[in-house]
Amino acid sequence: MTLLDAAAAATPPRERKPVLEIRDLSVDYGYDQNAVHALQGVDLTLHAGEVLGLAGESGCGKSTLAYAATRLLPPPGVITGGSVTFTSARDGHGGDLLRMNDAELRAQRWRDTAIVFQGAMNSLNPVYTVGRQLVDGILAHKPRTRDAREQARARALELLEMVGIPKDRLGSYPHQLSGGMRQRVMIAMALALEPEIVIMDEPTTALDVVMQRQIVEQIMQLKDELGFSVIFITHDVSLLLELADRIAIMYAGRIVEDASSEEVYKMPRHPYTAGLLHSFPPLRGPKRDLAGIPGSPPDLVNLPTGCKFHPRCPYAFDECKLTDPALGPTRFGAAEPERQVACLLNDERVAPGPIPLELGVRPEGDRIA
Amino acid sequence: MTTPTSGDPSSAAPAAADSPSAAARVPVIETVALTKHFPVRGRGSRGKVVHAVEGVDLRLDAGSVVALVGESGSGKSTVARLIAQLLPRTSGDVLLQGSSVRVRLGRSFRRYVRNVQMILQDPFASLNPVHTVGYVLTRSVSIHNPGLSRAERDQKVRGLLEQVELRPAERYLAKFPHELSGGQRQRVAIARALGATPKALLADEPVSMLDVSIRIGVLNLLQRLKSDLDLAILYITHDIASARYFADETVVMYAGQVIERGPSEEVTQRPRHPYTQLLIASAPDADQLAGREERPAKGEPPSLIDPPTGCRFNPRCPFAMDVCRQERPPMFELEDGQKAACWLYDEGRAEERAAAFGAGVAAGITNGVAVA
Repeated sequence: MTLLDAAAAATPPRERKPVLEIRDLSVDYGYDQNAVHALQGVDLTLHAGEVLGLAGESGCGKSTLAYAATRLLPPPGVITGGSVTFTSARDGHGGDLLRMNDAELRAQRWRDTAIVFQGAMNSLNPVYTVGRQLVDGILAHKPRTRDAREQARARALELLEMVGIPKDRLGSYPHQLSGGMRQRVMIAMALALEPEIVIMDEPTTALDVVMQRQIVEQIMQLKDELGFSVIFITHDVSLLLELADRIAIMYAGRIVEDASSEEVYKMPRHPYTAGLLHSFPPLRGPKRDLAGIPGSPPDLVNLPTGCKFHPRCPYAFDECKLTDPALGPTRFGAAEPERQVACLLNDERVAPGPIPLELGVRPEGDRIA
Repeated sequence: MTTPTSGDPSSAAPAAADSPSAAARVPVIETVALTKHFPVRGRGSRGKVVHAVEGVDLRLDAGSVVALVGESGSGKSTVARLIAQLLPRTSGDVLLQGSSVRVRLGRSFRRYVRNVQMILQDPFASLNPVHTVGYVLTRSVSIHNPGLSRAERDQKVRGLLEQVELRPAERYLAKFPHELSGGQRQRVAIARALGATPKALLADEPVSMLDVSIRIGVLNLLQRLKSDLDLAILYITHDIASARYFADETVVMYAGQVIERGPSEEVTQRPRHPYTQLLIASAPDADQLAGREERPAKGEPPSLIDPPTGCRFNPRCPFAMDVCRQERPPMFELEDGQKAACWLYDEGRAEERAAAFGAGVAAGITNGVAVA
């Protein structure tokens, strides 16, 4: 733990400023009555300087959430409701991204919110050098002065150096770089205009663990230096536990649990979170038998009634088939003000009994019902 | 920490424990110095080759799982393809139950694949979308078991589905691949492989494309099939934690060569080769948040067209000595059946090692506990 980390931990989380507030965001794929509800009423807040992890299985809507929040959603994706409010932590400018006109949006993108896309191989243009792609992006957002191009070039060199790529690679084409270097170029591009929010959509999925480690450490180092906030999307919960301050777990287009990463790891409250944590064989410590989660991830076209997880949930009771739980406080209420969970076990009015032991672990190590 | 007890219950693989004669038995599949060089095409590259796989020795015994671990490009999938006879080898040998095999096409190939079946990474691509599950499995059964009556064949197909835990079988027979989830599709692919009643399965990243919550289910299924059917399984993966969970023996490859091997528990808990140490230190681990040190090794895997001389890891290795740049290290035998191809373990070089890093660090390296 460095001093910086300790200072950050000491700041009460309540005082941190939200930079991105997603409220009641819903997304459909398709227009008619056969539309697939990919996201339903998602609430999520990103605070300044925070790393927010978004985890879930493929098809749970985590990428859809990122693209909807930045209005990059390709058709047939349709945002059917909600708001995404950006508030600059630096000078307070901002507004609802979903209600901005094209010009506002174009100015906002990249300057305030940048995205590192999944698969750097496909995100860089193969027929231009990486230098040109960097410079183009910078120029599009800078006033057209006489020496703008030189300045942008200098900035591009600076960026490459920042992500640990030798300067002479500015004239390289993407195919001349390795996968890890391409991913670094993508990160450099995202940081070109010093955005306040960087959304990373599985930035390390295509890389090997050794390269993944290098990239992740680089991201964290840059974050400390430049002070941006990160939404980090991945299916690898163990990676998130290491780097995220807070983790939101998604299932079938909803957030089912939202808590600090340590709490998610040590004291999961949602049965799906608990199951997900038991799906990764540990590299160290005692070997144990793992079961994963029975059944398959749900088909969004044909979602179950009530809680979407109930067919796979070992703790499901009758009410789970009828009521779709909303994201709300845990059963420990005031003792866990920063946590939210969407599970009927946490609703005393309907829960059949005490919380199962595995889902009721408390910080002191006691298990309270 | 110094001497791991061999009686550690967590490391004792059940299958290996109850067959003490395993060493005496003929392995189902054995590779001897298996080597594959791919010619490089294009201008200015005449005579150049990619050294994809070099001198790989593997031994797959009935009822046990060997994991082949490495980064992408380390040659692990090429090894599987060479064993499956989908690629001709450059040199070395593949033995099926003790006899050398080199088949390409036709009957001899079919006879071979009856014994050795492959499971591919992506069940979305490996199942033909226009055929039903029932058709796919019936084809597999009738090709590999000629002369069955229709009733026997149908019964066997149902049995296959039951075996991979797709129950009731009737529900799945008429389904097309797109109607199934990824996990169910991979189970169908496994059932198809079992239709040949093989002795060995080559599983090339069988769970990498699946959702995380169902990966363990498929691995547990393979584990059960291994013991029920006494299969020899080669499990290829880049996830060393799953190798620890699933495999009896773990073999680590780097740049086309085997650099460390041994019982999975030993290799993952006490990695000896600096590359394995790097690999394990790089894996995400929520329990080790505080104690994470700086990674000593940086850089990327070498070009296999023009690999580094000596040890191929030497340009990235924090412990590289002069000899590492000149001579390729042989496999040094260590305790508990672990082996590492690293000059650090050459007894004759203890002094050089100590001179290079100080005695304390050198002891730490060999105990597999310290990285730098």
